[in-house]
Amino acid sequence: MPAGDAFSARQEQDIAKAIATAEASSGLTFSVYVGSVEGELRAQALRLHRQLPGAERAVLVVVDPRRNQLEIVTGAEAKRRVDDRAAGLAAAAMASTFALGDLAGGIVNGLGSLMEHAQKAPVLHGQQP
Amino acid sequence: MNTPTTPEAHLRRALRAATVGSLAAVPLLLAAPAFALHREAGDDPGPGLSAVATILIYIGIPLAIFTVIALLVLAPSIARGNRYRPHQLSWWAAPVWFGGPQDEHGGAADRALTGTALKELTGLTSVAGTQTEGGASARW
Repeated sequence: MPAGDAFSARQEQDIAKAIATAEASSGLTFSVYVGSVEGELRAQALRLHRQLPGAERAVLVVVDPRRNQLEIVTGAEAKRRVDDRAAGLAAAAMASTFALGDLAGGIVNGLGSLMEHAQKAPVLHGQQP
Repeated sequence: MNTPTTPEAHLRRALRAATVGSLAAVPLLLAAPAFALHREAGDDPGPGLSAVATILIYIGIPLAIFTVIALLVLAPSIARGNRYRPHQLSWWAAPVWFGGPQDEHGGAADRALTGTALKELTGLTSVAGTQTEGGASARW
């Protein structure tokens, strides 16, 4: 298969719109990286995440279509809004759509799932007795 | 295998054979006119089909229908071009970073990190210590 663009213009618009909607409704920043990644995916995703401005409030989704793996990284502040369980749900939803061959749709769905969890009011003192 | 010898068993077997035989015979009898050799009164068969016409009708038309349906099925993916297919190790598109550090969500304009840039990143030492970031991972 020759090298080409990952997404059509329409799909890029859809993803950009999903990111803008998620950011507007949650106050967090969302970022999606789609591409083949060398090395261990989690470590690379963390490095990409640290490059983001305002990484503490950033949610990064890294999708490696060649290895069929994806990684969601939430910053320290974003983690309070999107806990690991919510991120796991979004990751599973994305993976199941990717498995059907729909990359753009899976990303849009996953961003929607992350956004829904981020909208919930954070439980500030849930750990205290 | 022991065959039953009572009269009832014989009758049952005969009935079973008759049922199966009649079921097979009905379609053959219904198709009997196809085997007719004698002209009936009032029929008016036209001239027989030539070999070319036979091939065109019985091979050409099905092939044409087959081609049209195949085109209708394949056309959307052909028009879409480079499509992602899972489990094929077929991803050669350039990396895209939506909402990356370079500028706001521009889609294709944010080709911030190419494959080579990522390799350079691999050389960086990983930050040790407490993990503040959360997240999740998945495979498909």
